[in-house]
Amino acid sequence: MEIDITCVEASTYISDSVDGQLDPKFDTPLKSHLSRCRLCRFELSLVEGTKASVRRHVRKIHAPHDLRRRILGDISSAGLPTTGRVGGMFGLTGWRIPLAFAGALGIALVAFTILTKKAPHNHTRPFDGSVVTESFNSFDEVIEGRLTPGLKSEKPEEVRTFLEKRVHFRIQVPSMKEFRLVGGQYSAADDETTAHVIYEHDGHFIYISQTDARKLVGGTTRFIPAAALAELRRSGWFFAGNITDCNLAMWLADSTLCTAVADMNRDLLVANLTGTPPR
Amino acid sequence: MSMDLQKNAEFEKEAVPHMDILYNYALRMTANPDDASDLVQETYLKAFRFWDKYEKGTNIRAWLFRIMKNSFINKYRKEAKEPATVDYDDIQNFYNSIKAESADSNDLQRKIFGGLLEDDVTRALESLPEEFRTVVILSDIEGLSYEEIAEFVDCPIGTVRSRLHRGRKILRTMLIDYARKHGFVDGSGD
Repeated sequence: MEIDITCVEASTYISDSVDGQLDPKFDTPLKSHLSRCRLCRFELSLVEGTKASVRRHVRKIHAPHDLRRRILGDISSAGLPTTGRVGGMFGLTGWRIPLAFAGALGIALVAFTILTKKAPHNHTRPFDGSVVTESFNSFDEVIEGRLTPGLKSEKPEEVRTFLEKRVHFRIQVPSMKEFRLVGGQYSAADDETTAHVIYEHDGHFIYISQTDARKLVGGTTRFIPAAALAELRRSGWFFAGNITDCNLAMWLADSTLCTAVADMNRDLLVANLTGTPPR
Repeated sequence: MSMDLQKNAEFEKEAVPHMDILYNYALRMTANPDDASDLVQETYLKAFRFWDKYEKGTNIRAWLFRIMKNSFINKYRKEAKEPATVDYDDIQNFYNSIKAESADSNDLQRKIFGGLLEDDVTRALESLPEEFRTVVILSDIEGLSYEEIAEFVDCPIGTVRSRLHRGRKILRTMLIDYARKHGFVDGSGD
């Protein structure tokens, strides 16, 4: 016996049919419905037209040639040689090795000279899933004005409430002596959320990234570097940075991992955060 | 062969061949070739770092895709905190009017879609809300089945079906609007 379907059902089956995914048992009922219903035939023509337009006009593009090279380079610089590059030292043998060392030393000296003169706001690091790297990169977004607070408020309680409604961990909003609270923002990736708290004084910023430490330790797509975790367990603090006087301080408050980044020396950053210098 | 070299060789063999599909998706999500390249590069670097977490024999494209989706959300959604919204009312009214007066659906299909330009379709696709854009790209450009898309976006097939249905509806209202602006169809509805 033929199944009678409604226009609403037909609308769903039309999509499935155009994609070649229609359950065969609905094939005949759909055809039968279409033969009787002018509006559903119209619907079919629109779905077909839309899909065909996308297929016709949005072409598949090959990834750029240099992208593969860049990716393989990344893998190589992650500490592992790529296939096809086995043997010798970077393919060098015999007398070429000391010559290569001398060349590398020269390059390093030139690079050091250039790096020590670079602009102060250049902390961006290649994305690697590390919460340290992410915090440095987010700090760059703050000073470049790309990461701004969703809630602008100088009241810590308002910012805390705003963020805690959107994340599932406790938020820290320390009071600063010198720096004014600008506000808070949050971002989400699947079940991981990050809270961003921003302070400002005379055009300088202290940025605090906050996330649920339990998730990071639990092995999600982001992670705390092992050295940082060991330091946190040992002393309660982890520091990174010293790039043109930009420093990062990390500490745990309950299960919240707080990571503060600022363009200032380490002692000053901690003094601002806590009112007392680090041990 | 050392463990490191073995890992490297495996990664190159298994993961790198899927670069084109990832790049295409990245390009449609970011609408910028440089951002797309950066996103793909980040994805591979992250995938390499977590290669030991990849369960061999499972769908590697889906695994890479999920890493890319997370990277995209982390990196780009920060810049656009609010989800994309589209004001459909005007377009929907027009769509309803031509739907009611349509006598020959094939003729109208030709009129609406026949004269569209590549830019129109690309712009419409790029302005789709992210969750809809993803499934439309994977279905209509990459030609994946509902089951594969469900694995890619990590949600039930029913959700894929519903997002595709709604995504195409939004898309076609935008395409009809372009057609009306180009004068391919009469937008008055009179």
